[in-house]
Amino acid sequence: MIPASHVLLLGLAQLLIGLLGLVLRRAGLVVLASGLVMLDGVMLLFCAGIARTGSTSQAEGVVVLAVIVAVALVGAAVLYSFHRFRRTVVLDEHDRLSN
Amino acid sequence: MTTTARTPTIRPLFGRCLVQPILFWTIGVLSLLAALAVVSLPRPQHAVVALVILMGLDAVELFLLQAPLLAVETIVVASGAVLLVWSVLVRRRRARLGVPGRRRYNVTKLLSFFVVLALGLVLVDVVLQAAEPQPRAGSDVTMVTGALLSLVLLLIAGPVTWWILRRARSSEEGEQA
Repeated sequence: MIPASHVLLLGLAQLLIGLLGLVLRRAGLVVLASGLVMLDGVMLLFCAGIARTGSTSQAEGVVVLAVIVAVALVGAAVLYSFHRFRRTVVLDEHDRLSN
Repeated sequence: MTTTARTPTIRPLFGRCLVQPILFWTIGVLSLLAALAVVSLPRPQHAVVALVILMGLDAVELFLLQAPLLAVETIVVASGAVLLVWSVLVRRRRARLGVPGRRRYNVTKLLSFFVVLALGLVLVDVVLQAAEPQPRAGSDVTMVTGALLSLVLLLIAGPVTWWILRRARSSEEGEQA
């Protein structure tokens, strides 16, 4: 048996590592990947929460997966449009909303 | 009649009871290493590869945690999305993805690191409280600690925000001059 608190701790560790990457890195692709790491941790937290309630439904996890996919796709689109304007996806170069 | 509090557990999908936590933590440590690789690798291309590995390891974890639907979806959908990012931004080499091996740690990032650390401690406290089957009665220590931590965070965040805004404004004025 795996205690639910272990799953919580693992998800929390992933969430914090992703948050660190989100704060410390400046390459756009790595920032996007760090956000995805955070969402992966959230999915583990949801999994532990589902186990705590005793439910067999995985609907919350499916919602988080949909968010992961949306973040990946929208993030890629935003980075691509950044690249079209400035020819780079380093976030320090994008300090203005208008071109 | 007294009732004993039962720690919530997740019944594994397969395997023996003793093997499951060992397997869980082995894959868990590997997934944490992959997450650290995503954050710390200098080349963004390698970070994306580490992210795909992380998602695969998380899919195995989800399978162990009796969530096979989520595991399959993680592999198919999420890894597919990451590979799409790869194909759009990385494989065609259209984008300048960053400066390999070059990192800049300035004061703002150092401060934000400590803010993240403090937030993480609050989050660990909250999650560990949620993991307990029954709340401890008659103890307000964690509430007081949480309130004090929130106050300290607010007191740190206010001056830091003011300092960052002032610095940005002065650099803008310097550019205009």
